Amino acid sequence: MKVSFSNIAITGIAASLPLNKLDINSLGKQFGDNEVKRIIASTGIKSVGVAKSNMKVSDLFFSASINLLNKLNISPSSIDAIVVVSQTHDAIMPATSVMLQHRLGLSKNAVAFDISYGCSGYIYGLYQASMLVNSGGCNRVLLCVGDVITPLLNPDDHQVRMVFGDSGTATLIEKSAGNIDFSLRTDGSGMHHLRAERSGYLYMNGAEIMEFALREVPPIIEELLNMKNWKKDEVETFALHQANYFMLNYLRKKMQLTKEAVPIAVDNTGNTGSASIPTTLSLIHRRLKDENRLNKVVMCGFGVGLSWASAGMDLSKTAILSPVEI
Amino acid sequence: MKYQYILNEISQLMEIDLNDLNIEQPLDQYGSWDSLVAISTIAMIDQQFNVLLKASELDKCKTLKEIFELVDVKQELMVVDK
Repeated sequence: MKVSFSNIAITGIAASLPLNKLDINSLGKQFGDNEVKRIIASTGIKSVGVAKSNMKVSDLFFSASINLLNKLNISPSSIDAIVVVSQTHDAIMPATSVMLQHRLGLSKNAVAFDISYGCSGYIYGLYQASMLVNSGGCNRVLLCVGDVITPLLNPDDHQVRMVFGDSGTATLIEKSAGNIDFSLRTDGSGMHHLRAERSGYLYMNGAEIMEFALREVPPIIEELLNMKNWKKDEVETFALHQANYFMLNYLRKKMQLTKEAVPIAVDNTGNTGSASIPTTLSLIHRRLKDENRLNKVVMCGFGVGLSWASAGMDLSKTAILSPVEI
Repeated sequence: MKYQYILNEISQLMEIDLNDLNIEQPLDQYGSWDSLVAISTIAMIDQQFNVLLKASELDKCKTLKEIFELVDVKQELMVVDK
C-alpha cells in the first residue's frame, strides 16, 4: 500500500524511559562473561530500561505526553484524538488510549482507540493519525507508541533479555503545511518467527528476522524514495527501527548509506520495538538539529507480523524533546 | 577463494582457529555455532556475495560443506534468473 497525505505535519516528539536499568554486563553471572561480551559487541546494547513491576506502559505514555504538551504549551482539551500503538496494553480492556484520555484531561469529545502493533507500529500510528486528520474530523492527534516488553522476556533466554528494553513515546500530528508519504506491507506467513502467546514469553527466531530485514527493508525504502522523488544521498536521516547495532550496520552497508545518515542509538535503551524510532530521534535530536539533518527524513519500521513500513517527511520544524526518565 | 572467505569469517564469528575448523564436521559439535553466528553468516554471505540465504535453508545445513553447497546452488540460480 502506497499513500501520500498533504496538509499534515509532525509537530512534536517526546519519549519517556524507565529510570531503572538492567546493565547487560551483569548477566555475565548467568550466561557467562565471554558470551555476554560477545553478544554486546554484536548488538551494541550495554543496558536497557526495565520498568519496575508497578509501572505500566500508560505511565510512560503519560509522562511523555505531559512533557510534550507542557513544553509546546498545548492544552489537553485541544486534542481531537488519542491513538495508542502497543502490544503490552495496561489491560485486556478497556483500551489504554481511553485510560489516557481521562488521565491527561482530554475532552470527552476526543476519539480514543488502540492499535496492536510492534516494530513497524510507529509508522502505522503516523499513518492512522494522518488519516484522522485527512478525513477532516481532527486537527490535532496525540499518538502514543511503545511497550513495557520486559515482563514478556524469559529470564533464561539470553537472546531476548540482552536486546529488548521498555520505552513510551508521544507524538503530535497536526493539520499544518507539510506532507507525509507512506509505504506499508504485511506478510503474516512469517508470524511464527516473532511472537508471544497470551500467557507465554516472547519468542524470536533471530536468523529469520535478519533474513526478512535484509530482504524487505531496502526495497521498501527504495519505493519510498521514489514516491518522494528523493535521491538516496539527499536524505539527511534514515531513522530505522533500532533492532540492534549489528542489523542496522548491515542494512546501512547493503543500502550504501553513510554512517552519519543512519543513527544507531541502542547502547542504553536496547530494542524498544515500536518506540525505537521516536526514542532515537528524542535521544539524538540535538546532533540532528546541529547537523541540519531533519529536512528530509525517511523512517522505516520492520519486524513482528511480519510487517514493515516506511514514511518520509520533513521534521525540521518539529519540536523534538530529550527523553524524560521516570 | 569464496570458500576460504566464508571459512575465515565463520572462524572469527565462532572464535575458533581456522585450522581447527573441519568442513565436514557437524556444526552442532562446535559449541560456538549458535543463533548469533547463524545471523551473522546470513548477513556476511549477503553482503559479500549478494546471496541471501533463507534462515530455514541455513538451518538445514549440518556442516560447513553444506553451507558452501547451498551458496553455490543459490548463486547458480541467480545466473539462470538473469
